[in-house]
Amino acid sequence: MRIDARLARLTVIGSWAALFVVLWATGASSRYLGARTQWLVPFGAVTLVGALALALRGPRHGARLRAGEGIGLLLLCVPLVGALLVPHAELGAYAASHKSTGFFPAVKPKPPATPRDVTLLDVKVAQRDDFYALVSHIHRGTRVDLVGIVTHTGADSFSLTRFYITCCIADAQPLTIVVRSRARPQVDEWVRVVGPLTRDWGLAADHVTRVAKPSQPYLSFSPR
Amino acid sequence: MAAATQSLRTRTVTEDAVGIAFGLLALGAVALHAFHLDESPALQTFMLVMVSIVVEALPFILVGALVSAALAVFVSERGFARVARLPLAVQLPCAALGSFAFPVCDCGTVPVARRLLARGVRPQAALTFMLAAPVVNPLVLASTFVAYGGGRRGLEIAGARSGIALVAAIAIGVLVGGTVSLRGSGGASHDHADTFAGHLTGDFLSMGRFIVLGAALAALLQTVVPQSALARVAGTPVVAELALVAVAFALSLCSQANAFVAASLGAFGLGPQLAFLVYGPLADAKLTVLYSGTFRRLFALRVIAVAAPVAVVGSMLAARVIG
Repeated sequence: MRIDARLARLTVIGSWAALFVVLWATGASSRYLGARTQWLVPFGAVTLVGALALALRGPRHGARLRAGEGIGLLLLCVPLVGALLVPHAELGAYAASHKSTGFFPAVKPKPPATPRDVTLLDVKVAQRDDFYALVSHIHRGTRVDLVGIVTHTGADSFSLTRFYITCCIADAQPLTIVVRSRARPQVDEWVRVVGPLTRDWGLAADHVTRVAKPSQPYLSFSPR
Repeated sequence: MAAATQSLRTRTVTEDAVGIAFGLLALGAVALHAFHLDESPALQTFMLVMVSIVVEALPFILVGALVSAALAVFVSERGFARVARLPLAVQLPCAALGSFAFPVCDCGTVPVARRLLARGVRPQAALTFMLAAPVVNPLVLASTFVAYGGGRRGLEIAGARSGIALVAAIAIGVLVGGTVSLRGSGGASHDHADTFAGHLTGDFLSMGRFIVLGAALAALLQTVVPQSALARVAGTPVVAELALVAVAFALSLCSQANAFVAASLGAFGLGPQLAFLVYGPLADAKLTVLYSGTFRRLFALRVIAVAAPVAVVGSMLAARVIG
């Protein structure tokens, strides 16, 4: 079997360029990167397409692929295969149990315009910051409407979690609230929970309904 | 005649091996899907973390490869020879100053340093540039300033971070530079290395594969090792600094945005946060693999051996000064 080295290089660079273009065009980059680093996807798409164009214009010597370079190109294909293999992968209960450090993102979002806009991040910030709680009208008894993933279930409660990303998935931190409810959602299921915040910053759910995964499953910095 | 036959046989075997390896990769993917192993939460977490680190790092690798290719093609041998003749006492500060003007992440400076070394620049200066630029460039300083709320506090943290990083970079350059040597072309064929495109693709692909390996290592650490133990050591001096050095190693974050992560580690004091900010861009998991693939003689271990104590001690001292 004869493998042309130039063709192999072009194929790998082209595949990566295609992944960046697809991530850019579909907005799926939020699956991997936070809001602060989103710019890398269009930047990467443009520079990779440029590199591909330059490589295409290069000389055609038709040299054979050497084993060392072949293994290197193979390694570069592994993340591409991974992205294709689990296109709808998301962080869930397993990641929450392994990635939880008990620390909190250094972020202070703008107060939500209405109670409907309150996210799990707002609740967690309000829990730590009395001034934020005051200006955003989030306090014990406030009715909230939260969407998250179920990461733990107990006898009469479950944990509702959203992950917060700063740079990329590597630094994702789970933000979790305990929901008191007799509903029995499954672990790793997306649910919408409506009810008042309790004295201990939990949530007493009136309604728990299953929902589809949101288009932006992770919370990230947003100027709102 | 016999030698030619042997050569042909070797080539065919290696090409076959590459083809078989690609086939096995595809087969493995199909098997994972067929047996629903791709639905395993651990595998999904591993894949997500690995792909996200590679997606974040590759554009910077490409920028580094572009600069490296430009140095190779557009700067004459005579120009490099002139620089190489300068005494170390001149090259070192120039490298440190130059690093302030190269706004690229940690992965991007490795191909540039490799090119500088290959063209005769003193190893001490090339390493100082490679290690300092990812921390002290204007974009990183600005992101650090913003992450810590701006104002005087932001300036203090950004200044402390760049100061400790410069000291660490120069220390590594001086202590490790004397022993550094480059590996070969790294497997990437430079058949067309006389062209800009040849240099660009060669550097990009040979660095990229080490980024994949490093990202896989970081993803494995994050998937297997629970991070909950961290909170218990947050208040213990030295241990807290070392803990965040270990976290910086495992997370392998981009230096342009890791300040926002550091600022969220509020349970730790300023010293550990600074250690996290300084150490990560010097020698995290993905860089360790990248260094090992680029330089010989246990270079990565030597960098870690100097970077970790300098980052820890420097951060503790800086934290005492700025409180």
